[in-house]
Amino acid sequence: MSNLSVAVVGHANAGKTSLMRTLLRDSEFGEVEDQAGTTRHVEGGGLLIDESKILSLFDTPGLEDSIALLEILQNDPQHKNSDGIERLQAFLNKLNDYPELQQEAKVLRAILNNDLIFYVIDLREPILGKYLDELKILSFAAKPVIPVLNFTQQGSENIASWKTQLARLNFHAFVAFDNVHFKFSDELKIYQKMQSLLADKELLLTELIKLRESQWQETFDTAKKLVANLFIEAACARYEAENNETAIAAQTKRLQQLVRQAENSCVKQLLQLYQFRQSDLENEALPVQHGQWELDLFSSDNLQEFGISLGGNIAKGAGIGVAIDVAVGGITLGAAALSGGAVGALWSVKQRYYDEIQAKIKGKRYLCVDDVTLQVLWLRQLKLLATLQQRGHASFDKIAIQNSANISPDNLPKQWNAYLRKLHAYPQWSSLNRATKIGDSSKRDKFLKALISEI
Amino acid sequence: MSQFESRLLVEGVRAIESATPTQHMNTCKSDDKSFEALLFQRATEQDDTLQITSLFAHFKSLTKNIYRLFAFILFILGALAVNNMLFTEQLTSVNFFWAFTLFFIPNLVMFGVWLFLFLKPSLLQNSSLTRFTLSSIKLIERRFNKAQIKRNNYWILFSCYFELHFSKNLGRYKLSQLTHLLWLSYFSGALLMSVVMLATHQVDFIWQTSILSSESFQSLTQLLAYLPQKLGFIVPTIEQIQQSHLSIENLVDADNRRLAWSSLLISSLLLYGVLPRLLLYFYVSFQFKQFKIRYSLDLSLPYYVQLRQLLKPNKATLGITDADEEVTKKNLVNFQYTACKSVQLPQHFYPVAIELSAPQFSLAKAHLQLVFPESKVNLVNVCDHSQQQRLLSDIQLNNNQTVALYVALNRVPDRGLKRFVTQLTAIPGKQYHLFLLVDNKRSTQRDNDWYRLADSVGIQLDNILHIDINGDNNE
Repeated sequence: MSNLSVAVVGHANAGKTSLMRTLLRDSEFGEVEDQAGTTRHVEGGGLLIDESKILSLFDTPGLEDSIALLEILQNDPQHKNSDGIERLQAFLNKLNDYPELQQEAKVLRAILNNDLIFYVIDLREPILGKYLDELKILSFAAKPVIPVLNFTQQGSENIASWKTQLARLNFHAFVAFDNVHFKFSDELKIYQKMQSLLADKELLLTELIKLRESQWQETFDTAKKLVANLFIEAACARYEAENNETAIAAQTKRLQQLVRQAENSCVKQLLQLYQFRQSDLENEALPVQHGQWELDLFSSDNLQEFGISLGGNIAKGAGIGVAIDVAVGGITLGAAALSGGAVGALWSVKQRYYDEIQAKIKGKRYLCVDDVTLQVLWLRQLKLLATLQQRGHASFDKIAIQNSANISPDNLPKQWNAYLRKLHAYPQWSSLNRATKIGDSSKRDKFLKALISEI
Repeated sequence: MSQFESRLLVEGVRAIESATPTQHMNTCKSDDKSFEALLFQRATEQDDTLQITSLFAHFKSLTKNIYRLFAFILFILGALAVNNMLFTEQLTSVNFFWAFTLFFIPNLVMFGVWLFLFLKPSLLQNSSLTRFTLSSIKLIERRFNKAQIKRNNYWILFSCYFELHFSKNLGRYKLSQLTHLLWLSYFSGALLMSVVMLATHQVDFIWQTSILSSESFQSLTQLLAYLPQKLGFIVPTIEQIQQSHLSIENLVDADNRRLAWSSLLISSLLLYGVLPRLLLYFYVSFQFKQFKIRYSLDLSLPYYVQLRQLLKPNKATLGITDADEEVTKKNLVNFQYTACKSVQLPQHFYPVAIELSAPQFSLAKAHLQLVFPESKVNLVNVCDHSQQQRLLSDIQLNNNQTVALYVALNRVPDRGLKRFVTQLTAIPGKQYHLFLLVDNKRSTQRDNDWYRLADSVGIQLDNILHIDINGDNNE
């Protein structure tokens, strides 16, 4: 297996395990707590490039007493003229003399055994001597080091001073990477920095970058598909009810329940897709209201649809007429073809509007999700999607889906009303409706694509 | 199982599981197998309990039988049409071109309709033919296969199977196959009946017109007869064509004329009816097979993306490589810092700042000025090894018995700090106070960390003081 391995090191509580979690998209990796000494062993996770290539990442315990360690490494009288690696080896050989530095020894072993080092810096912290000592110790290993500036948002005021300090110590290839406020472009920068430091692994890292980009894009595309699909499901849903209060209340409740279930299922899938825990979510129930399904035979969308179907079915109907005529050897070929055309058109109307007309005659009503609810649903999902795109896997804050999303025409697709009219014309597109028929899915797919392009 | 059938099985499992993979997963994650191979392996495992393959096999044979039934019906209709048109009891002569028109013009029209729908696949998929076929299948199932319908997931798999077979390119060719099969059957019935009837009945063939010239009919007949003649069929000569005109009463060579016209009718049915439909049937059947071979799963569907994460994750667990030998017990003691109220500031103390940021250090200095204005000690922020060493020697030399350590509450007390404070508290004859500078919000966790450190290095808990940077309520 063609490998590249990285030791993730840093001071206690700097966010090493969080970095691992975010890069591996694994909220369960290691242990993360707001105190020193949480990680007490070296634990690895790998990003698979293909069957034979892997980028291994090793999480290490925090360097908690670099001052004492550096003192030992620098002032060992037996190794006054030794280089850094020899000094580290000498220290590890007589580790029994320093039982209080067992954790640091693990870090030293990790940096000696791996190809590259990520040094995680908590930007919220001022530049302290112990951090500079840590960097000096890392330089003993003679391995490329990439300082990873964590907590860029909360520690923004320290960025400049850290950068200056890093440059003074000859670390120029640093990257900003916030584990909590995640940006995929920052992740790519890490790999690009690795490329510039490890010339012999350039191809491997190019492959990794391409793979990560395609995986990220695939995740985003899939998420958009889920959101657009949910919208279609909800907007096309309709329930028939007798025209009395009890029946309407009962059907409204059912409709609300099903739309909420559909939304929950979508959210669950989104969380799974981005590999977050289900418990990360703090959800407010969608306030599903109901409107009345309008039977608008003559809306422009319906007419257009009707027109297309009419043409198609006239031809099909004509086909039926001709076939019957020929079969019986009759002579009214023209009339039969014409009547066949009329049958085709009627069939088309029946197919599309039979249920509605029947409901109208019987004095029943169709209930559907109203416009405002659909707007809330759409905006909630978009907000959730944006949150998931920027959330690190080490975040502890709950993801809030609230109904307070700003509903205004500016936040909605420009063709919102046209979309709704179209969706109302296709109840068969929603699996929330009772009877779903085998039918043409290409129009739904086309509409789904149009909706996806709005996200 | 063919590749198509295995993919169909995977789609069947997807149909049952709906949006998310929910079925139990025994499939081992494997690096050396492709994602699709893993999908198939998983689907095969599921098939033992879900019985998808057997149901799909049932649908396959059902479709075949329906096709056969339709073909048989059209075959009979074709035969009946010939019987009704050419061989009624009153009729002793047949208007050849009218008969030809009745057979071939509808065929041409329907060919045009098929071609139009074929070029617009979505219309074909949603056509009356599809609906009629599906309704027939459902009808037969409900009437003759009640036990099948009761099987779990029957209708889900029914939709899955026929959505797949009657949609997109597969549906395009499957439905085209049915169209050509029906016309083929119709013409075959007509051809067979024509041969039988012409062999056993005597009819005269005539042609007539009110507005066209005789020459044009002769040319038309010759044009029609061109291909049959090339292929060795007997066709009417120019004289025979002229003699067959309705207005001409000519009994000369009547037998040969009947034979020539009959031969032309049969060869026309064969060459212009049966053969094109047969060729088209073979073509679309071949294409259908090709699309079956080329059929691929849409792995960009959310369902498959989720499954990929489960079956072929893009990450690996490498385990613990340097395990901790000590078993640590965390949070043994939770210190009730809130109980430590009314802490008195010492009268005189030697102030020390440890690892403070610049703003924190300024605040520590301001606090020192406020509570101990007469202090002549220059407050030093101890941040590195040399400063630590200098401070240790300074404190040893200083007569002041009380030392106050300014630290930031939000900083995580680590082993390095603990070692240093231990070194400080090890200096005999000194009493230590811990001043925790609180900025932002107080954290219980961090309080506990500092109390634990104080406890472990010998600083009395009563000597811990919180200094609120934002307010003035010290406790």
